[in-house]
Amino acid sequence: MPTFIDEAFLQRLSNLRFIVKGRRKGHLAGLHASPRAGVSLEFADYRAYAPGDDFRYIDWNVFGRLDRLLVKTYVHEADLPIYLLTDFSASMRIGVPSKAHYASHLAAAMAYLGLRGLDRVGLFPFNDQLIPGLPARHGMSQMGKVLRLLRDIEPSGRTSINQAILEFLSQTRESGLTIVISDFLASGAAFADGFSRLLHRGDEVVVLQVLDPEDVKPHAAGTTRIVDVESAERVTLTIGQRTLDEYADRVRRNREQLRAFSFERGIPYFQTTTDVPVERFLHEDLRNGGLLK
Amino acid sequence: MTLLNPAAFYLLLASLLILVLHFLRARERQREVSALFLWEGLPGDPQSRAARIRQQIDPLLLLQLAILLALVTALAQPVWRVRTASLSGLAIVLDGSASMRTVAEDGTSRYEQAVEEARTLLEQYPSTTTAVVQLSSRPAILARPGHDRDDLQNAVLRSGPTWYADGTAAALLSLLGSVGGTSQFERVVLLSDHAFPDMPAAFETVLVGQADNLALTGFSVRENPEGGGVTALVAALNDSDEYRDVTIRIDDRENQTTLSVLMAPNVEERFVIPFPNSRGTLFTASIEPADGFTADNRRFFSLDRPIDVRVRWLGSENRYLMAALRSVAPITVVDSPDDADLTVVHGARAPASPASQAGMVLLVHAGIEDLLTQGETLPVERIEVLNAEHPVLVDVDPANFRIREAPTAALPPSAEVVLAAGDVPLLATYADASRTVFYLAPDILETNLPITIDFPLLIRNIVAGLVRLPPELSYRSADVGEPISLAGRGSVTGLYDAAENPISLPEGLSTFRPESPGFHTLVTDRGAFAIAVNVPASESSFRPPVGEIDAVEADVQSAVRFLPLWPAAAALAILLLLGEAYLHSGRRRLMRRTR
Repeated sequence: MPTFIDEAFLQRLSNLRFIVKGRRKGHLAGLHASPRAGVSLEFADYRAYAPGDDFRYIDWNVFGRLDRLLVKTYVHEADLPIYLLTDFSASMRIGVPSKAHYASHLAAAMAYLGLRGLDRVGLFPFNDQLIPGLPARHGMSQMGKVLRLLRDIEPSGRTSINQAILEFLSQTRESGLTIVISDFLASGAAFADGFSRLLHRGDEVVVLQVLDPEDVKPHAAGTTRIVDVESAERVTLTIGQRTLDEYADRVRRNREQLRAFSFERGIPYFQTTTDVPVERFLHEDLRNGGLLK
Repeated sequence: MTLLNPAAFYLLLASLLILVLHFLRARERQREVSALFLWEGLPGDPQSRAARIRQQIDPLLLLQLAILLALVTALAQPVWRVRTASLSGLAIVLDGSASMRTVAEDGTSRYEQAVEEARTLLEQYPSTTTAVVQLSSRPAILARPGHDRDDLQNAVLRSGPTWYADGTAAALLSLLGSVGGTSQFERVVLLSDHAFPDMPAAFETVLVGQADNLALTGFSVRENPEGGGVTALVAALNDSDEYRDVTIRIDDRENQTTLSVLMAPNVEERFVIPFPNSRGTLFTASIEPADGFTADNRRFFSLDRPIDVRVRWLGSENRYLMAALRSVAPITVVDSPDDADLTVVHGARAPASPASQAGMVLLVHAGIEDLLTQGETLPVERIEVLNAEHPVLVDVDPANFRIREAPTAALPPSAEVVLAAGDVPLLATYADASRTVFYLAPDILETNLPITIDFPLLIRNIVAGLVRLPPELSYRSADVGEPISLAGRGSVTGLYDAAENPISLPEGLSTFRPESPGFHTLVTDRGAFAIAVNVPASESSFRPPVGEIDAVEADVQSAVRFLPLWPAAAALAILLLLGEAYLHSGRRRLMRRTR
């Protein structure tokens, strides 16, 4: 088990749970409202009685007043498959703690919250393709598997979110809450197609962008060889304040594009840096942002 | 501020290593990033060159250089000279060596300048306990520690420079120890024309009258082997920064020869000067133009021949034995026993009282009536060495001797047999209150002795045991202050310095130390002998000034105390080191974050 997950940390998450905007069509009972009418304490609607309906759901008071047989329908509380697509490309290795470490932490927390809410949770690590992960399962035994997988994965390779989502879609047939955790340091085209496909399938997509502070505001000066940690391509720059200002502007535009992309598609977008404690990010940003309650 | 160990600054060369390592590291500076596209096409820093350089200067590098500087400064032992109002003790050291006689252009000698400085010091501290000493190869106390300024001033004024060589730090410390030790002198001021490399760092040096010097530092004369004149060997010194036209003159009191040369600056050169028409024995070399230190512009050399050994010969002649004796010293054969230094008896039986002046007898295949009688001759098969350590066998290998036969002999019980063949003594010595006898038993012609190289060595050792030979070289050229033996030249009747002033010798003293340069004259019953005395060459040699060696230049006008500053420099180095470590660790953390 990764050392960053301890019991105390999990206990501090016990008052959180996911908020899902739409009603899910899960086939197992869970804590999320399903579009299917079912058995629960929450009243949904009336419909005309049809032979075969359960007599217990006939509303006799209405029959008395209207002389029509109507059957009460209730909101079916279905489980929610939660898919954690977590970036483990080489760029996530950057920083202390690394972005991968932070992302693992987030993924573990999400998995815990999902499993504790009786949802099925699947973990799908990826770089330029889907790395063998865990299909969605419920039960706390899944938590141990999630943690072991997170512990064993080493960030490597390039990033291809589109390809990873394509493979993810081919492996999962059921839509769910798909949380994509990555640094998203790529152009919009690198993930737009994948996200569109997710949305098309009916997934509720959440974007968690994890950046290192040095990604946002690097400390560098003088002639420096800049090496892409994924491709090993390099450029040599004489870095001055103006260079850094220009870089910061590019990063800001990149984040704005991702935010606008997400906003246009109704995708909740959250951004954090690894110097922000995970708990604070969960309790403040995600809670205030409506993903958790 | 003064540095007690300025040589430590050589360690600053280590900064080159730091710089090389820095630039090697800087050349490899690279940064891993998550996405290269964010960096591609970024403009380089267009700011000013100075700003770029400023940005490239690594604070770590600056800190490391500052640490090195602080450490080196600490090692250089900086001291701050703090002026104090009074002293607990003052020692004034006047350099009394010969070079202090050098006269400046204004007519004052260096010693007079030193005396003036000493008087200034005495006036500066009217109530301080003060001692005045003179430093040379024969140091002297001029005034023991005291307060009486008049006594001290008189002691200083009465003193004068010697002709001796420089003193040493050990001699000065010993001298100061005899007047209470250095600990009682808060300030020790050395008044000299040069700094002493081995002097304690706390001793202050006041330099007086440094100037260029033209000198003769070596002079000797040898007779031409083929006869006819001599050859002089001269060492000359040009202790100046200029080329100098010099004339070296050799004078034997009858004739002279000269050599004119151009001497390069700051060199000591040696010259061989033929002097074929010389017929004298007392030589004076001089270099011109003369300068303020005239004493080292001249050097003296005496070619006085060694004194003869007077031999009274008894018995038959033997030219091999005589040749061996002549190889030891010039021999004069005398008839009267009273005139003889040595009696040689060969192939005869000497009378009972072979009186000689000193009772020194060499018996070769001979006897003495009342002492030694030779008996029958026996063949010698093997030579036994009974005392290999005996002085008579120095440099002699008896194994080279071949002796066919030798007579038996009845020796006194106190005689010591050195070589023997069974019961036959071959070489023996005997001494009593009145005489010393060396006995060589075989007939030389019945041996191979004349053709061995050991024979003259054996005779030399025998003669040295019988006659005190005069030392030659010390008479030819001695330094002022060097002990010179007067022995071996007869009974001393007078000794005179170069100005023909008599030099009194204590009764029974057989050596003397000349106190001035020039030809001294020793008069004995054997005649007059010249002794050439010169200023020590060390007084003319190159000398480093203060600053080139670890010496502190004194400020006569004020009392100083040295406040050590190295602890502050060391503390600064430690603080900088901590700062550097903090910055370095922070940077490592940052680097880890970016990788």
